[in-house]
Amino acid sequence: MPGYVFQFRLVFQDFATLLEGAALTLHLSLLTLVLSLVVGTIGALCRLSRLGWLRRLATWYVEVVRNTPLLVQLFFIYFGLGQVNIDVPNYLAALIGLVFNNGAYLTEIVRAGIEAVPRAQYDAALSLGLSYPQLMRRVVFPQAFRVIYPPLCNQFIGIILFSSLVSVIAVEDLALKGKMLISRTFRSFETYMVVTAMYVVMTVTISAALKLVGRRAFRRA
Amino acid sequence: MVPNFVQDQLNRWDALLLFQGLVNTVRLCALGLAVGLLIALVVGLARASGRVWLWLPAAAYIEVIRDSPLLMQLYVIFFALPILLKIEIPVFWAGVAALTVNGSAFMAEIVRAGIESVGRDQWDAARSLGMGYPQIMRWVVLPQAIRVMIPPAVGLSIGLVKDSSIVSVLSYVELTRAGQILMEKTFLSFQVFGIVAVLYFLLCYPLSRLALWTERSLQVVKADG
Repeated sequence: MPGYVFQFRLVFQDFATLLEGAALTLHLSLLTLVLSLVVGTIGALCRLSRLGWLRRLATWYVEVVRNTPLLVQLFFIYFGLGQVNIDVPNYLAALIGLVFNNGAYLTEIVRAGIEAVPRAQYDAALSLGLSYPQLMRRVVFPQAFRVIYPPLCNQFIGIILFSSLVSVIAVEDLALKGKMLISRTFRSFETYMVVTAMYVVMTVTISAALKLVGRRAFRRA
Repeated sequence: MVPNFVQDQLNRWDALLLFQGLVNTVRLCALGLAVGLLIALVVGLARASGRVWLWLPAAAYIEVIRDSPLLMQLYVIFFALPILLKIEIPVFWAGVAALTVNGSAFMAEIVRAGIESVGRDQWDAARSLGMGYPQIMRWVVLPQAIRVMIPPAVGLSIGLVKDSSIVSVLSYVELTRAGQILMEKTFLSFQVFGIVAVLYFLLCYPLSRLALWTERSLQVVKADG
């Protein structure tokens, strides 16, 4: 490193804007997680449905999303909506893109969770006279959630990391706040280091916390 | 009268640009995957080793890379490192480097899992035959571990192809950037990104099927001892 003088002070002077960005990243990710879980549950029920066309539709949704990049999906939604003159705020376009993307991954996770519930549980519930919605809500989902929880946590970390892509469609998340800070201070090395470290701290803390919560919640009696 | 530079449809030159983008995407991924595998093997072996000075740095590398966004890694390599080292990195190689670094961290975990899936008794048996560490790895452990490693590695390569789209933010003309250029020229976003998505799908879907197939055909049958 010949003669480079580090100036982290300039970055920390404006640390508040980075925190703002981090806050946006976090609540965008959380909202994405919750909405994708809804999409994923519906998707999983479709994939396990008795109706052939519903099953095929859900399968194609999953395959298409999993085999194309998130960035292209974001562009498709963001610029595509513009093309047909639907004016949505960037934040909403980003959210739609992220939910569309993660909904497919969660479909597979939820499906695996539901399939992990033994057949005997269905038979027992049916013999007690539970209807399909009751059976799902009272018997299957609570047991499936135990299986779903660990991959769900991993997916959440993935959402936080990949949400950095929304900076490309001008949503002011942590990544974009970092770039904006650089255009003011020109300290790109320091800023990128700090921003990257912030992502690492966020994901490491959150995944440790989620692991702890999981251990508490699913302790076997 | 303002001349209208906006094209209202895609022509054959545009198809050529998309093809060029597709080729560049494949080049990025192929290089990133090849170098990434080599680094992953080294890091994975270090991670699986019992010596603290070996596994600790390897674990730190894996954790930091897996817990930070690829976009940031790309920015650090392309914008930040050149300032620090006073060198110039061409866009293509910055892209390859980012994909390599990112892919190798995930791959290293796959390597470790593969190595750890080989039972202790295999080590004991090899050692009792007088083999040293390199020999055991080369002739006993890795050949068995590779069966376990292949399906997730194929899965990872799908992720690599998709992640390579992120290199477009550095204006390197791979498939996504080619799509963006056409979009800016024609404003036909649905059509352009639809085509781009189909091209990515054509790259990734065969890999998905391959991953599934390897998973089924390489399933390790545990011999009863």
